[in-house]
Amino acid sequence: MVRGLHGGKDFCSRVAALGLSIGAPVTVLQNFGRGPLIVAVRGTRLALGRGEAQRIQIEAQ
Amino acid sequence: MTHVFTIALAGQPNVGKSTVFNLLTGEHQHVGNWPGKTCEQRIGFYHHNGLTVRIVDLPGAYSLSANSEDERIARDFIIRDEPDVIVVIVNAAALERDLYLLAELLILPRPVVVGLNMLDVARQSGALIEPHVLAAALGLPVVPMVASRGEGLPALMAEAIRLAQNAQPQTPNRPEIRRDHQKVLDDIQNLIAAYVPPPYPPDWTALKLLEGDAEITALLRQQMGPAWSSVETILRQHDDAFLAVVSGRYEWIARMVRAAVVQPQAGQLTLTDRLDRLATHPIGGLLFLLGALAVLFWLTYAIGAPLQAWLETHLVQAAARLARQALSGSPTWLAGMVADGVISGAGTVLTLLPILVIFFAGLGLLEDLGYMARAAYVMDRFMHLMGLHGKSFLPLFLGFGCNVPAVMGARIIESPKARLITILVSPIVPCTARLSVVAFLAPLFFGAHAMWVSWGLIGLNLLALALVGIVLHELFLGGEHTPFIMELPLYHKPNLGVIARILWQRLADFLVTAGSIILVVSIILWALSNFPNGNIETSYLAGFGRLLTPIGRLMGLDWQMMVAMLTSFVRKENTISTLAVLYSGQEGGLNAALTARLTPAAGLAFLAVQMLFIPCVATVAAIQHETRSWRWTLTSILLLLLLSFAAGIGIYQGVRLFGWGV
Repeated sequence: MVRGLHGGKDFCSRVAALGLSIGAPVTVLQNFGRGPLIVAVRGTRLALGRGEAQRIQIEAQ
Repeated sequence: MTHVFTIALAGQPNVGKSTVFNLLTGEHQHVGNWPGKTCEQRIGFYHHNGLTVRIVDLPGAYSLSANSEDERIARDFIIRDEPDVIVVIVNAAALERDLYLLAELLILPRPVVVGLNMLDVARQSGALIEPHVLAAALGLPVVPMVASRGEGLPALMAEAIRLAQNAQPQTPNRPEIRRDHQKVLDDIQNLIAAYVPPPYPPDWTALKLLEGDAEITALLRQQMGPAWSSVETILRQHDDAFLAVVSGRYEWIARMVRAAVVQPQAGQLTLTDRLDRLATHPIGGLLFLLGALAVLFWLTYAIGAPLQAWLETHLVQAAARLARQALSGSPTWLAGMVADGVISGAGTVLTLLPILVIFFAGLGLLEDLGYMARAAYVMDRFMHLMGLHGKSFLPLFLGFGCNVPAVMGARIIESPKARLITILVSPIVPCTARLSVVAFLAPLFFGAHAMWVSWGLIGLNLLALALVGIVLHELFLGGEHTPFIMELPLYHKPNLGVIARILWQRLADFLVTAGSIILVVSIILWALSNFPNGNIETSYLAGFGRLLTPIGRLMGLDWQMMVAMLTSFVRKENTISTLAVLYSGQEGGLNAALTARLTPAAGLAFLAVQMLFIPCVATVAAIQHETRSWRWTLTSILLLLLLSFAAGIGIYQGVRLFGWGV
């Protein structure tokens, strides 16, 4: 589940519009080495750069 | 009685909106650009019962927060142009995310119809949705649809027309800000009410201020003058208000979804998940991508190239012969101009067609399949090294075939700056036409080593591409890291009719605008190389080439070589035919003349300049067509002119410094 978003307003607004808002359940689908990630959130799949993913705080359930 | 209503077609990306638009408007479409933007604008007309409805296809937008140019265009249109009805298409298979745009739209005072699309996909994933319950919960008309099969479209339009004719305002169930921030919102709205300029609705404006929207904040600061400071104080005290607005919307969505979705999606492994195991794998995905590109290139060479050759001999050359015969009685310059200027210019456009069709059909297919986002994902880490987006890879790769589809393919990149960078570096990709010139000339200068020289030249171009990419990235974006966040849509069966229509519109548009530029330049260059007395050696062009002698000397090149380079502007292959004409008086023909006159150092410099020289006129026309700006087109020409001469001079002087090839 998403706990917190760290970054500028633009970043937060973009990520939230794509479904990654606080409280949204997230499943990590792919996470190889140091490359980008794929996550499932609110019925869609998102590709995230590693830098972007590091700014999204997640709580394991 | 004919009434014209305007309906705005809105939706998040990947909801099947373009299918809906194409099925509704069919042939009655107008494709252009949004005023002052490089983003494609589609307007169509729908006729029903003597009524004409104007449908404006808005760019796909996740929200109305102006996070991208697309979102800004959609938002400006809805607020400023005040369409009679907004039709929002949502993807039933991702309702929890897709209702977000609707949540934002409902605060604007415009009637809304919801098209609940892709119900078949939702059903396949095990979800059961009741459209009438969703309609009751939203307080809005909801039309169930499967646009890929044309289901629900007449009902959607009937509902939209009914709303447009009905003057009664809608009273939908609107999302509200999280309760702890309601008072703050009210306070701000009261403070700004007297200052909000029309057509912006005050409640919407207050909400956008709380969200920290840069554009609206700047607007209000300017409108309010000294009164702004009290608003600013409140905003600063509540800098977490953005989260309250967003969670208010998602709570509203959750209520709607709870009501309408009888049975949520089963957590089974879908086809998309299975395909993505390969398509997005760091190694498997690369191989998959290379495979897809190999097929595209194979098609180009197996079908495109022979077709090009056939068109060249059977149409272009035949037409030129006919023209010469028909004009045999008129002055020789007229026959020459028609045959070598007009017909050869038109021939350039014509012979481009097979390659453009194959590349665009391939790109359109991959995009519609949902694969393009995966290709961008796989390539992103490599392209980032050059400051480019993952999506830049495909168009640039196409550039090896021909630079024109590379420039035009750049429109798949959403960010305008990243798109511009891709367009500007596209002509540095060595295309087959330039490689064929190198393949002809390199053996003359370097014999058995020609192959190594050719590979070295390709390497030089790729190095130049990376360097220019990094520099442009620093200049435009200040080295700022563009965030990589992208939706990976579900794979779905491509709609061939829609792909074909979009392909046809783009080709027709290109042929009309770019075709005329190519034609005009061909005629001008023909005239320059034939006037004043029909001989290229004493022509204006040759005179200009002689003026360039001082620059040529720095690269060890004579004026003939400079003229040959200039004629390659129309077609890269012209270099060789021009050299053949200019050196025709020499003993032993072209080969002997070239080896006698040019040292290996000068030969290498010449090939490097040829590889990096200004793009051919077709590419220039494509750049103008895509950027809609002569300033950027001229920038591109100048950039490559400087780059190629710098490389030529650097190589010639550098090699001589080491005492090689003199």
